[in-house]
Amino acid sequence: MSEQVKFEYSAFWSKVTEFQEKLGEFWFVHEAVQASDNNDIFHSEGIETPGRISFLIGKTAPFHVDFQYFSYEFEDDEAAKEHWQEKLDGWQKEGASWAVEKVSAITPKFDDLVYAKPDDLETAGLEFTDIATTLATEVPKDFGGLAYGTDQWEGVAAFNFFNNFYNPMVDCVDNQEWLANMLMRGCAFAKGIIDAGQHSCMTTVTTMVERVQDALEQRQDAHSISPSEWFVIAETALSLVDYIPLLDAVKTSPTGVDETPAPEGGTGYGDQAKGAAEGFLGWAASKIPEDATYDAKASEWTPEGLASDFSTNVDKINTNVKTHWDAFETDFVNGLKEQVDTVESKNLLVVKRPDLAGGNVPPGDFHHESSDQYS
Amino acid sequence: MGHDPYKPGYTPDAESSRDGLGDVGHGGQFGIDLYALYRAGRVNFPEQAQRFSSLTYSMQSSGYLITKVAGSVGNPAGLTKLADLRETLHAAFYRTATILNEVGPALVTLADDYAATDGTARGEFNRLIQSPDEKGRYDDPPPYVSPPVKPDEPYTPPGGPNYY
Repeated sequence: MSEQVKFEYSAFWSKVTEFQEKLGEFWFVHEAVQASDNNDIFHSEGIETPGRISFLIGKTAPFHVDFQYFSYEFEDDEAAKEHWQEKLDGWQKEGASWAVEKVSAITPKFDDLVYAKPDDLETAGLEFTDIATTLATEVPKDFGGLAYGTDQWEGVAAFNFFNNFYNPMVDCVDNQEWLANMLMRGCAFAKGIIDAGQHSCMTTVTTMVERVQDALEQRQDAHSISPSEWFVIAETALSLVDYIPLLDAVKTSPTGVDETPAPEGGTGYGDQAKGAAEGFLGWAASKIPEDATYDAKASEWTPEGLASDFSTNVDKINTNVKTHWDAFETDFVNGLKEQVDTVESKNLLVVKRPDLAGGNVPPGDFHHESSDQYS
Repeated sequence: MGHDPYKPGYTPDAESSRDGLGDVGHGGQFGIDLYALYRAGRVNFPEQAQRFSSLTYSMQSSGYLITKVAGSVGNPAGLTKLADLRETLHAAFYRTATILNEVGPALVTLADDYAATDGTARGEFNRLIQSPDEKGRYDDPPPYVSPPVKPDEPYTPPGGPNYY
C-alpha cells in the first residue's frame, strides 16, 4: 500500500525523473521480452535445433532474455549475439526517448500545482493575525480620550466630528480586525488547497514509481520466480492546514451591520467559514485522485498504460484542485466580499474624514456648549 | 516662543491665530474640554496615526506573497479576489492613518485658538497642562508619523524578490 508522502519540491522532481527513467527501462524490457517471445514462436518449428544466446537486460530488476537462431540465419553465436545486442541497444535508446516524450507531455500539467510555496500563505496569514492582534490590543476604544466630550461640543462640524468620525472609529477598528482575521482564514484555506494538490502530486508520482518498479520486478519474476500481484491504494490522508483550528477562535462577523447576508443554504457567515474549513479537511482526508486505487496484476501493465495512468491521475488532481478553488471563491471569498462591501457602504471600515481635518471650521460649526454666541 | 503648541513647556496665551472667534465657549469646563482636545491632537492622534501607518507597512509583504502564490497556481479567481480584499484593508489603514494625521494638528490649532478667547478657560487649560500628572507628556516632540504606504505602491521584500 502506498502511504501518503509529504510533498517536497526537489524530491518530487527526482521522483518524476525516476519514473521517466524506469518507464523507459520498462518500455525497453517490454519490447525485448516481446521480441524474445516472438523469436521463440518462430523457432519452435524447424528441422534443426536452433542455437540459443542469452542477454542480461534491465537495470532495476535485471533478468535474462533468450534469443534462438537457425544456422541459416547466423554463422555462429558471435554473429547472432552481435545482431541481438544491436537490437537491444536500439530498443534501450528508443525506450529512453519514448519515456522522455511521454513524461514531457505530462509535466506541464503540474504547472499550476507544484511551483507554489504554500508556506508563503501561512506567512501572510500569520501577518494578518499579528495585525488583528495589534488592532485589538493597541487601539483603545476611546483612543483620543474624547468619548466623554460628545455632548460638550455643538455645531455641524462638532456633530460630524463625534458622530461620523470619533465614535464610529471603534466599529471601524473592530471591522478592520475582523477583516484581518478573515484574510487569515482565506490564506489558511488557500494553503490547504495548494498543500492538498501538492501532496496528491507527490503521492501520485510515488505511486507511479512503485508501479513501474513493480512492473519491472514482475518481468524479472516472470523469467525467474513467480508473478506477483501488485496492489496499491494511493490514499492521501493529509494532515495539513495545521492552523485551521485557530479559525474557531476568531470573530467571524463584522460590527454594525444589521443584516448579515446569509449564504445560500447556510445559517450565517461564521458557519459558512467554519463549514469551509471542515470541508477542506474532509476533502483532504479523501482519496485523491479517487481512482488512484489499483488492484491489478502487474503482469498486465504496459508502458503505454502506465504513462496514460500517470497522465490521467494528474488530470484528476487538476480537476479536484480547480473544484476546490471554485468552492473557495464561491463559498468563502464571494461571501466575504459581500460583507466587506456592506461594511464599506456604511462607512464602517474607514471613518469619514471629518470637516475639522480640512483646517479652520467656522466657530458656529464647532463651539462649546457654554457659548452664548450661538445659543 | 511660548505660542508654539508643539514645543515642550507650551501654554496657551491670549494670542489666537484666528481673529473674530467671539464667544466659542467660556469658563472652567470649557478649559477642561479644550485641554482634552489639545491632548488628543498633540499625543493620541499622532500615536494612532503612526500605528495605522505602521500597519500599511505590515500589509505590504502579505500582498506580495498572496500575489506571488496566486501567480504560481494559475491565478484562480478566489485567490485574486482575496488579494483585492487584502488591498481593501490596506487602503483602510492608509486612509485611517492619513485622516488621524490630519485631524491631530487641527485639534491642536482649534484648542490653542479657542483658549485665547477666554481667560478662565485658559487658566484651567494652563493648570491642567502643567499639572504633575500631565507635564511629562509633552517633554518630547509629537510622536513621529511616518508616511503611510499606499496600497498600490510597488514592494520588493527586504532581501530581494527571492527573500521568501
